Amino acid sequence: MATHVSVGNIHDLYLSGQVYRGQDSWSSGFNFRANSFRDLSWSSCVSKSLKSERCGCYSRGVSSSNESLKLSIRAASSSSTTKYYDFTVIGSGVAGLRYALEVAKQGNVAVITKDEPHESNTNYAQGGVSAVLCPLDSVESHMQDTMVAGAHLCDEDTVRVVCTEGPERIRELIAMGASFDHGEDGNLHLAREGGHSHHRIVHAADMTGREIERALLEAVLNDPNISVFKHHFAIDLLTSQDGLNTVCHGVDTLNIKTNEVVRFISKVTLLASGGAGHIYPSTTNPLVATGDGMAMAHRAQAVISNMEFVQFHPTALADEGLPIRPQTARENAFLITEAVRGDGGILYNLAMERFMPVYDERAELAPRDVVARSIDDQLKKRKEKYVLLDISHKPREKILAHFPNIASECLRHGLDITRQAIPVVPAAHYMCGGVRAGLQGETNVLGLFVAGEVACTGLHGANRLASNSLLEALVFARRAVQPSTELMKSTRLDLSASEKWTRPVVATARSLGEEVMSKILALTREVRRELQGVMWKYVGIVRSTTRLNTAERKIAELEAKWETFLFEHGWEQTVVALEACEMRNLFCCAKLVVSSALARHESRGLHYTTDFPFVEESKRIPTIILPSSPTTASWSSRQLQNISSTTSLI
Amino acid sequence: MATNKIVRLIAPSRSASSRFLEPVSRFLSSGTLPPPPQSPSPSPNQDQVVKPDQKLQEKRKEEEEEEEEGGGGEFVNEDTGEIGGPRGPEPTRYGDWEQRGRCSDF
Repeated sequence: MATHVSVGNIHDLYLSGQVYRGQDSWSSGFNFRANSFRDLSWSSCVSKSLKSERCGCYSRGVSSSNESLKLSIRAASSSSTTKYYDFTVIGSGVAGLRYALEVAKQGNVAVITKDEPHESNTNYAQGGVSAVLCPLDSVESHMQDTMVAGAHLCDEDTVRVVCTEGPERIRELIAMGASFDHGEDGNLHLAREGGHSHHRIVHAADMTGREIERALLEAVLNDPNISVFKHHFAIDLLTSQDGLNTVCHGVDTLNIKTNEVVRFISKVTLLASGGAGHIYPSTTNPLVATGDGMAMAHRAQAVISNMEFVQFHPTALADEGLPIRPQTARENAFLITEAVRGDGGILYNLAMERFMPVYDERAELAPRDVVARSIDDQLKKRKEKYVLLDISHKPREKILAHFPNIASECLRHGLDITRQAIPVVPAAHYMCGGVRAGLQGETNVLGLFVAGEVACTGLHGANRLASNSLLEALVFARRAVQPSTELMKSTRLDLSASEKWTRPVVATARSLGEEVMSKILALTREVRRELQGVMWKYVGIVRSTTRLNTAERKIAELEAKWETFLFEHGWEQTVVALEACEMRNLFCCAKLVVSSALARHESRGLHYTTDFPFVEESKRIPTIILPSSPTTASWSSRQLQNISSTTSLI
Repeated sequence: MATNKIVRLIAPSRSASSRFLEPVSRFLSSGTLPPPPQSPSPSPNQDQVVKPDQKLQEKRKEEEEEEEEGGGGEFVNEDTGEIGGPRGPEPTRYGDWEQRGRCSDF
């Protein structure tokens, strides 16, 4: 576990001696006093450290003004297993690709992605991108909507920057060839989503993320300065210590197709690896979202923030409740729209009791977070796997006209929604927290920038406003460009640096034995399911200190059991395989979520705990997780590579 | 909940604040696909516009149109004037973004 978790000031942890045991309504309304209270200023905290080393420590290798103009290194490699780039981008979603396209004007870029390039959360983000594009709209309004949705935990500077720069980012996307819906008069069609006071959602039919991804990918593939390395799984960042600072020099990857370790040495690294939905059993995220970036960053001594704010959707189709179970596990959850409840759908538990009126007088029409908590509470109390959403009392033609997707999907699995209730269960959707970023995407690790879902920029606060995630990715990817470029120009790559770190070794049937490999694989899959089960059961939507402590204990036990098995069967510190590396990242992220949740002694936004069920003004500060102490670290908490040389890397 | 009227943007004017509307409308209002214009942004980094593969885009649009039921061009929403948008009820009418029952954003 992380050794130091604080919610702002460490003393705050001990201040709140009161324990609330209220049974009151779980309405998300609250009152705020006018004065803002913030121990940590996002931009200053991180930027100060960045500025201090520009003065001296961080130019690795002194470069005179003559050399500094354009120090782009051609992609020469001493062997095929080490590659040198000015910029390395981890992740090929909107953040990674947008950044790559921009920095490619300054130097050469490697984009590393663990699957096919289009496989990312971006591709599944189908709603839209929010931006102030209507003259009747205003940046202030978008800011206000964002801060209200974020339960006022957002960083105001971040919100201002994102809302202000959003429109420009959209224009650029259009210039790059992204095609958004428009009206007959040729103007962009703007929709209005829940939480927004104005129409400001730019979209491409119902596949906005896919359209943006398509446009960016096309540009990336056409750019001679960008090399895309698909099926390259990022293992750990390569770092060194420079006095008190940690410096990032690149990343080790595993080429999944050739089973080979490929080391990337670069002057600047952008982490844009997306979310961690697969720490939970039911998620909308594609399989690639295993929290790799958050875990690698934590292991590399980056500060992590606000991991307790996990966004769930209350009603995803529950495969367990379908008469014909899908033959293969559904990769990403099928979310049932609120429109079903809006059109009169009723929620029942498996005893056919209508439970919503108990929780809220608005019943099924209560706000989504109230519904999510209610369903979660029912499931935990009754120890059941799903609840039922029944629309069958409505006219058949209307149901089929409004919800044909649900109807056909259910019918494929033996369920007729015009006659039977739909089994539903909440699904994890988005991580508001992540690697703490300053206003230019900088982290406390020099040379490491972050953008997109992996980052915690302060935009989302305690809950994300709809359609703000693609926007955040675009804005921060762009903002990271200038500091990245400056850093790149003042850095000289040490081409002999590649052997300063031990190399990961790929686990093969030859090295460990066929039978051992298959046992490890089987155990890893089972352990993943168990971890997801623990997370859902104890770190779900309705939390409590007891349950969180139980989660902490169970996760530690599970991790120990898994690691022990591996290491007793010939696994070593530097051995890697895709499933094992994903598993260690899942463990790492799960622990970060639990630690963060334990640290917040209030309920706010997405984080609800029965021990502190109310919002506390004095707790309106981000949760910070500092790096763990190496002595307590498990395999998932330590970087694989050790520095093999004793000399520093300056 | 307030009605979800779709707001039309005002026609492009010469004012600086709505300058950005111009390239959009030029790009989108004609039947064929003209190459995307240079963005008028004053940002110093923006000296290069990446042009998409126009043939690819046109092909994709054709494929999309073929998929449309009832044939003959893109779907135009009579109430809102939106071209190429989703058929059926407004996707955001209950706050989330839904298409034919499946929610994709919220």
